[in-house]
Amino acid sequence: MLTTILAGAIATAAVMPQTDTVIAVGPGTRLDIDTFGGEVVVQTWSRNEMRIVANHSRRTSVGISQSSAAVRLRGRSSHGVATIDFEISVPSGTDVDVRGTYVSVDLDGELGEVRVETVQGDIVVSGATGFAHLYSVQGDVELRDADGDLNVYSTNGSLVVTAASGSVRAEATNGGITLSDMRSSEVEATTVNGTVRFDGTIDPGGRYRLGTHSGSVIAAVPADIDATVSVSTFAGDFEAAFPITLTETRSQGRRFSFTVGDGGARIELESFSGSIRLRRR
Amino acid sequence: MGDTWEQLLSEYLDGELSAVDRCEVEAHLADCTECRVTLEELRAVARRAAALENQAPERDLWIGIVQQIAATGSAEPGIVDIGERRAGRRGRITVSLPQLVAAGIVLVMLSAGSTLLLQPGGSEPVMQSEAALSQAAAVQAVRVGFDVTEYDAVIADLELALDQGRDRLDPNTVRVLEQSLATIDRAMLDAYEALEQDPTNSYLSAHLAATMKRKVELLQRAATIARAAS
Repeated sequence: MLTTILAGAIATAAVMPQTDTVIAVGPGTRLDIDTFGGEVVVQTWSRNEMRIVANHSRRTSVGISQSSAAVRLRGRSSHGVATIDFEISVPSGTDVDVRGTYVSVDLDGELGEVRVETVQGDIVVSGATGFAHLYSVQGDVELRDADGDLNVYSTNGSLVVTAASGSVRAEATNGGITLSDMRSSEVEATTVNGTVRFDGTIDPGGRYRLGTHSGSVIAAVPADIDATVSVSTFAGDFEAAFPITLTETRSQGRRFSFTVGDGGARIELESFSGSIRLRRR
Repeated sequence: MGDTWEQLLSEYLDGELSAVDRCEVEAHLADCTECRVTLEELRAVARRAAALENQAPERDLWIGIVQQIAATGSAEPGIVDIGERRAGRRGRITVSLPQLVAAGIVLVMLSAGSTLLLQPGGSEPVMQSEAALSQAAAVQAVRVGFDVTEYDAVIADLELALDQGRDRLDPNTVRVLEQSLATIDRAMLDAYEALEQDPTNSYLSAHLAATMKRKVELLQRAATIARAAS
């Protein structure tokens, strides 16, 4: 018990607020963070300022530089690696770039374009507009309420995209992909080992490709869609929740296509060895 | 030159930077010899990739490769272990361009067989497979008009870069990368075997190509991480 208390006291003393500053910024100023480890939390507010609060050890510091284009934050440490927890407020519409190694990232608000890359750590972004590039080697990635050219990747983690519109590309290796409440006209979601789930509207001129090697593909779409659906598998199976009439069949029935309504949208569902399900939402 | 600049140079070359960032990069280039050299290297790779013709392979490619594999009597390929492939690699890489991957898709398909050679499983069978597969690949390379060794060189370079940075990476990261590469290799092997059963299946061909492209992308990412850790 005593050991626990002492350890807690030491930790509290070693990690304490070391940086708290407010910077006036002009419109379009980007926030650019490059640090080794820790947590980055960014929220938007209505002021034309950035407030930067950083908690870190005494041997670590935050380098802050500013130009008309960007406010740049760099973690520095006298012992090689910088572990810093950032809490930052930025003006609405700010573009945010975050790069790190052991960094988890949580961005929330009326954000502009967002780019986040980390090796170990989860990424959660809510509210990106225009462009998003989110990549974690070993962490889960979640993107919510976003619009634009949206790209999410994880090597060894799951991907979740919710309430997104625009163009969505989701790519994992070991991990599932869940796309919910989607309003996108272009979706490409593929993984090697994991299940791909889609729930959303289908734009009559849209393109949707959901694929996995070993896992299921489950697509929930409105019953009144206009789409040409192609299904490909090698050792899996297919099941639709509504009647379909096949227009083309190949490879002993393992590849086929059919039309729903006027057939405007193009939907490709692929699983090498798993089940493929087309459901009503 | 930091990894940030290297990434910016790639984006600069791809025309993906904003006007402000472009100016910033150009200002930096004026003062940094190392970055100017790197930019020229990236341009050379881009030119090389752009020269590749994006042409679909003929379907009997797969038959030939599979037959060659069978003819060598090689053991079933195992899982890639980065640490077992340190020897005999070529020099430094400058591969971080999306165009290279895009252009590499056909190369990926062409070199499907030779990529199997990356699997450990005894030096003797592997060497035999390499010779046979290189022969098969060379025939196909002539058919589609470029050298299959391009792709293998890319793979080898990326693996070298990863190897060189391996000791500086977190063991957990290395483990995750190796697991992911193993997952991809298993998927590739599944696709090979499926194509053996159904050589005309364009889904399988495309699936295999996409999976191998993913391997390049993962290796690119891993190599970047390894370089950044140095």
